Amino acid sequence: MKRDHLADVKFDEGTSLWKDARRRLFQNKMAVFGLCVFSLITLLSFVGPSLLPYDHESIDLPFQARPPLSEKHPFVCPNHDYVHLYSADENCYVCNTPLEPAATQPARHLMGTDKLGRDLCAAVLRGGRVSLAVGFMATAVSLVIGVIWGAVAGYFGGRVDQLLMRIVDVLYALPFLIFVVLLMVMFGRNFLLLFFAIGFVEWLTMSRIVRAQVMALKNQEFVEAAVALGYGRSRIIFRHLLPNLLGPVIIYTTLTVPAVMLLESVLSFLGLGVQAPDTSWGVLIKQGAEGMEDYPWLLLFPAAFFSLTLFSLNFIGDGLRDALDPKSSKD
Amino acid sequence: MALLEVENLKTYFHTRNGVVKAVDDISFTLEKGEILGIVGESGSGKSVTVHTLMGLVPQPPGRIEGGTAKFDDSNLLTADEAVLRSLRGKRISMIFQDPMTSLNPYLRISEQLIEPLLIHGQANRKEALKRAINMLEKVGMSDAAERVHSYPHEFSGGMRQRVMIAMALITDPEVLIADEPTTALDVTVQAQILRLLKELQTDLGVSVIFITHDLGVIAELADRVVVMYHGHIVEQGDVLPIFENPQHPYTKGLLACRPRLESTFKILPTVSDYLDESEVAGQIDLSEKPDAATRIDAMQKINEPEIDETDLLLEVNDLQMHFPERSGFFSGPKGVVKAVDGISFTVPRGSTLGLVGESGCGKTTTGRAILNLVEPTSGSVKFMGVEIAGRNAAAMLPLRKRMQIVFQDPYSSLNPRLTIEQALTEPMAVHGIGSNHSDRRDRAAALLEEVNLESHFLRRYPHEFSGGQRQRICVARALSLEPEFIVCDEAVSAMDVSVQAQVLNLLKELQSRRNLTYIFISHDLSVVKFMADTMAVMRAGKIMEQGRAESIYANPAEDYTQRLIDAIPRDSVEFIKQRVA
Repeated sequence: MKRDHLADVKFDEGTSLWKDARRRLFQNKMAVFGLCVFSLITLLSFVGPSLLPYDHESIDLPFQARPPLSEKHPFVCPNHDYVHLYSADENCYVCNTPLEPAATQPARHLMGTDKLGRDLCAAVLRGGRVSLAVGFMATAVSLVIGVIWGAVAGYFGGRVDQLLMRIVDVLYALPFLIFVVLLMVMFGRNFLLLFFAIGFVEWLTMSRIVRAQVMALKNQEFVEAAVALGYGRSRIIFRHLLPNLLGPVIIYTTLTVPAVMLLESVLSFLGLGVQAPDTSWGVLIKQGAEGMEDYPWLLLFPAAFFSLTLFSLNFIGDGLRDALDPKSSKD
Repeated sequence: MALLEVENLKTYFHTRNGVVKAVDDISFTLEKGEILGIVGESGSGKSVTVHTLMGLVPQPPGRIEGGTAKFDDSNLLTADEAVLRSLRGKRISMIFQDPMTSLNPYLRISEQLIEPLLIHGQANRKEALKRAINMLEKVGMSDAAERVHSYPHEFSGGMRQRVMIAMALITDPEVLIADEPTTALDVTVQAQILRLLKELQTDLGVSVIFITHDLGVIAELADRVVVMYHGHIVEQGDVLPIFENPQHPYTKGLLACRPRLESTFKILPTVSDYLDESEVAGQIDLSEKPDAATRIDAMQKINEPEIDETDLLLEVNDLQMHFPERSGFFSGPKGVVKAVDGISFTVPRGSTLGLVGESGCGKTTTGRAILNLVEPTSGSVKFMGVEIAGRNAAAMLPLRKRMQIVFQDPYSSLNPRLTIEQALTEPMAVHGIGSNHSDRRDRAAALLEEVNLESHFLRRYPHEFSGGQRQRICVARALSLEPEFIVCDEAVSAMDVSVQAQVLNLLKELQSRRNLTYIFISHDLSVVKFMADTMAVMRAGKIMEQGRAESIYANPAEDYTQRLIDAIPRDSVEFIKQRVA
């Protein structure tokens, strides 16, 4: 029966479950919409700031707390070059000559400015960078720890499972904020520490989900067949079990990202997260909320970006859940 | 006038890959008080037919393209939902294949039993409960009054199916539709359920549509038979003529492919030995192969090579497998469940040992303990003279290559994320067989051809294959390590008889070509009789009797063995003659 070669054999290319899932994901209009919006926001956050005429730190002095696309132009006194005033019907307070429009007009502020005269658009995009980075990095940390932890606990069961899951229980019981405060006190305030602290808390739920999935899967006969074929444990876990539970893991991940972004804003609110001059959506929303009645745009724009991101992530998550659910597949 | 008249029924499924004509222009009738058997393999449209009648076909993708189903002046296909609801469960009831999933696990069976009565306003709660207990007694639950408030998980599979039947019959329907109600059950339980259905049918005068893939079951039960193939009815008529003198080659094949205790086939005839399928101008043309009779004759067993009974491949001595039984989280082990309780047997090289018994008798645990997939509590398992019980994973590794296993469920025994190529080459890579990947791929292709699949399937994924094909792939995967010994754990139990015959033949063919040794585990004595040279009958963890398969069948020493033999559906013409008369 030994064959010489298969060069002349034309293989049927199979449709993998992934291919099938991708097709179904792209048929889901809401998911595609979410994917587009999310990509756009990500792109703007990372590329946008360098295209703007202002950065998020510099103060445009005459333009404090201006609404979006403010039409007002600066005026100068022809005698004193340095005097900047705001209105054409006033005279110079030094020499009382009528003011003239300044020769060089500054670019408009797309989303207006904050109370110090900093460009809000630059701040929102810049803050998006931080929020998305925290969201994804912390989720990645939680993903790696949670999946491995849960898979090991679920696969080995018995004492290993007892030990690993009791550790999870203990960590669940720790008050999160005290834990973060302790970390900050011990290691000093640090951007990377933020990823670590959030990821360190978020992996607990992930490990429980993965453990439950692995326990259900390991009784499937293909896992038993793998043992009978002499495969090693790590091969069984990483090649045979994990790819089969990526569905629920991906879905939970898309739900974790927004949760992490919210958590970051809570920490920033308490002064434990991102500090000025760096900013994040959470920080901006907090600042915007303080002056909500007088300067609504300061709350509106960061909040809009934040919730748009959350919406689109949820749509993507929903789409992925439907696409990866084996029950809705064609057989 | 017939009770139910189905005419020119067409149910198509509109899928992404085109139109599937699941039921294509079929007509049949159901007379009052008769049992109509619809037989066919999976995909023949038999289930879709009754699901259409019950309005259970999901639309879309399904669509009823035409036809009528007259039941008592109303057309079931066009009647509105309110009319259907008043019929379903009241005048037409249905029981399903899997008793493990068709009862709601969160409701006591009393609640589920009285629900149809309450919905259709046939009784108040108290009255309904009385009728429920009465009905449970009728389906053979002796202590019905005490057990009526139990939950489904407190019953065995056979008992659950009885509860399902009680639930279907409690409203005193005129038609009972039974969709493969015994396929998921052991043969012994199947025999009980079939006899029960027959009794109830005579008692209550209900008309039954009984769907099955097994003509043996039809022979036990039905008055008339409808044979379906690829959405068409190929033959229908009274049960005796169909068995005595089948006309259509498909029916002939279906009749022949069931292993019988009294037959002496070396390989089983299959449907394809009779049926010639050719496509002419888009129409599938079914005709009989002209040489069918001579082909079947050639399959008879003729002086088989003797097995050298001193050359023992496997010796099992006083094997015990106990599981601790716990009553609560904090309490220690309460006792032990003796799944395997001191069994001993030997298997000569090149022979097949059949392990038979009902579910829960420990036969599957025995197979797993032999392969060291579970560590036996005590006892010895010697493979080619080497003790393997209690070896750790590393010490087992060189032996894994030589002993393999094929599982019952071909759907869960292949990793859905791996292509067939990956599934077949991975064991070779782990055990260092083949010099590089392309060499291993060539071997995988050769293996596929050896199990009668085409090598261009290599890049496909498991979900693109049928159950029978998947089981062949599992066999190929087991063979990829070139083992000498394979445990077949209920390897054909989940299959249609026609597919079962093909897989059994394949296993036999491989055995003679590769001089394989098998342990063949099954609950069906007729299958074991076909496969095995020696046989061991297991019950409650112990071996009741063992010996040559033919002699055990001819002179069973134990009542229990006799019961297993009696449980096999009787499909001889004499039996049907007697039954019909």
